Amino acid sequence: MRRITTPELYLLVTAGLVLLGLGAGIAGLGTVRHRSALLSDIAGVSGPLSVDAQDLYRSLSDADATAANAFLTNGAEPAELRQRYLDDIARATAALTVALRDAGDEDAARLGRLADQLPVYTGLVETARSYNRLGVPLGGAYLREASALMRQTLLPAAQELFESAQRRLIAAQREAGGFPWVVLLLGLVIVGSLLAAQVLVARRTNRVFNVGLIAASLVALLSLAWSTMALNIAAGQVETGHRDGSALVSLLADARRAALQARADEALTLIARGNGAVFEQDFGAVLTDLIGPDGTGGLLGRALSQAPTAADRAVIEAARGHARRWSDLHGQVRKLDDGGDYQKAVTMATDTGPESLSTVFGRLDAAMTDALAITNQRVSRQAGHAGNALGGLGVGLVLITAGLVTAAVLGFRPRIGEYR
Amino acid sequence: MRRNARIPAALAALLLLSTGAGCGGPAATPRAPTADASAVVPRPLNVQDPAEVPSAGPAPKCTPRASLRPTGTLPKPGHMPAETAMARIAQRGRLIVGIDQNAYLFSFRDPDTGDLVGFEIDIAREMARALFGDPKAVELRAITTADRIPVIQRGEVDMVIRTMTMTCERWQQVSFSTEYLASRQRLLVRGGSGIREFADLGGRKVCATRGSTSIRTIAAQPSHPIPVSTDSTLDCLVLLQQGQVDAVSTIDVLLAGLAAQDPTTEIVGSPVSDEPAGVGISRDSPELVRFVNGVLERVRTDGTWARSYQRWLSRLGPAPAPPTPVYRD
Repeated sequence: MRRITTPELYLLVTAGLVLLGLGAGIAGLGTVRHRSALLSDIAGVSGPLSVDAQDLYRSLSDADATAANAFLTNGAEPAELRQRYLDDIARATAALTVALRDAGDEDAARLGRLADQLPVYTGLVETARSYNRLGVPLGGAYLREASALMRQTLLPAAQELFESAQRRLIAAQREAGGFPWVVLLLGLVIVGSLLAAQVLVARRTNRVFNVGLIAASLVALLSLAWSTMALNIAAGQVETGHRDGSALVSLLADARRAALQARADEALTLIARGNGAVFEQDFGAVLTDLIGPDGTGGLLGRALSQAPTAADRAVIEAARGHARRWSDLHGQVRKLDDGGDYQKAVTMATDTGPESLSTVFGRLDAAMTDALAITNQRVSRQAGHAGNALGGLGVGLVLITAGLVTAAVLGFRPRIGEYR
Repeated sequence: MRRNARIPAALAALLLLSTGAGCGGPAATPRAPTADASAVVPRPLNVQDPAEVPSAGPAPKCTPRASLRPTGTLPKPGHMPAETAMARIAQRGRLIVGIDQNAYLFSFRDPDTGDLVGFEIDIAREMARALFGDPKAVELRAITTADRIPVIQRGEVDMVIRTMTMTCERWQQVSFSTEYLASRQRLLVRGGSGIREFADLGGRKVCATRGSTSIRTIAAQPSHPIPVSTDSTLDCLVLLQQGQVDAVSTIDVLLAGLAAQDPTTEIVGSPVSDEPAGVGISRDSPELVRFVNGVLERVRTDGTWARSYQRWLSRLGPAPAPPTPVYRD
């Protein structure tokens, strides 16, 4: 076997450096593109889908509780309750339509189930209203059927949709949030190879410095620093978006769901008229989930300890105050009903005055909605920041790779030429 | 120079990659089929289809209508004899009665006032009047058909007034007052359905409440209809209106209450059973049974029964004479 000649060796090294440079460039670019895609999915698809699912659940659950309260009210149905119910249905339909645009196959099936059943639900509610106006108890039977459909089919589907959107969102955050090890390693390999090439050239010739290779090394270092830093900053933003955003969203959405469920339980306990122990037990359990047994713990307590800013804390603190007040008022209603004063209990539960139970619940609902809005915004804002951190890196990597390859080739060309 | 020419080509490929122009969009997916979408039929809570039909428990022969004779005259309101169930109720300050809130004309919520009204509510108020001198001193607690006996046994209510049929089997578990309303089991069907008798219902669905005598009577019909059970007779009307059952079968007086809410239905068929309704009371309080029978005696004789029947049940026809009480002692 003959010894390899110097120009042949230079040729091989050049080819190796070019391949390595191109490989690293493509790998870096792949990482950047993958992460950018994840970030735009968070900001543009799974984030909004999660918000739509939250809206859908809230609207449906509130429609159920509102219809039940309208039924409990004596005499003509109050106009504000009717309006609230109609708004809930309109919002649910809007959220359903928008969510369908972003949904994958599984979510589309869930949304399909909701879209099939929602008109059936509203039909039952309208039938109930007609019979109520005739003054016959058949209306109540239709309302119970509607409520069963809501609680057993519609709400679970909306909840599954939310959970699936959150899973997808959190998976995207986890994937986009890791440290860019591959990029760092490839960069180090390139820098190392360039250094080795320089040592080789220095040994074979008497020139200590090769301008092309030095330029290539500088470019490689620059690219290494830029991509590692940008990817890491983006990952940090995404991590913040997860910790202060999506994780808190899950918690707050659970809290709002608990509040809505307890509100419906409250009305159903009274509608069942002495036969509602199941609903009352559920109310107690759900309210304990919400604020803990002593009013300071539960989901809202956890949300408060996780809330990153004073603005979040203020809103959640307010929600907790409303929830405690509601719990007190509920206790008074139960005392009246358990003491045999059913009519007074109903009057108290359905009154809509400024400090009434309905109003206090309305404030709790509004505060929870505000808290969720702040947190949802944080999720998409952090994804946006992360996207900005990666901005230009894709094009930059192409140019840098081009520069690196060119510099390496230009560095070796005169050395190879010397042997011609 | 040749080598140099390759570099711009590689660069061009990289640029393409970085801008994403190299990626084609996903292949167009076919439109989801819409032809297989079908209507969803909602159901009331707790429907059993087909219903589980409990077998009749062993019961000695008895006269189901026979109750305990009232002793002398009724005590004055507010002056109940010590150590009796009545004294304990007086102590509490209100009578607790298990009722239905979905039985139109018998015991239902008036949507205008939210109050419960009806023929059976009138009887409950007469009991409160006799105990306290105040017909309002009564807490009405809604219960399901299946819960009637358990709530009496657990002492959650003082009495149940909820079209409860007096049977020898039930006499083993609770006591009854004398009969306050006579009824017989018949059928409610959609007008124009062509169904006239149970014989027309072989293999078809017939609805009644869980825990009622009606559900057993349906299952025992020689034509073998399929029994479907619900929590409330009213839910049966919902199922009938939605076409999920072909008939509702329970006592004629309750069917009249259903038919009054939907004029497109009709009551048909010859009576298949005799169902005397009595007030259900704990077996441990015979003194309360005698007291209630005393109140019922008064209600029958002073015209209160007839007035209440006239007010609520006149669509069943002119008020008949109140059922004659039967006593076992």
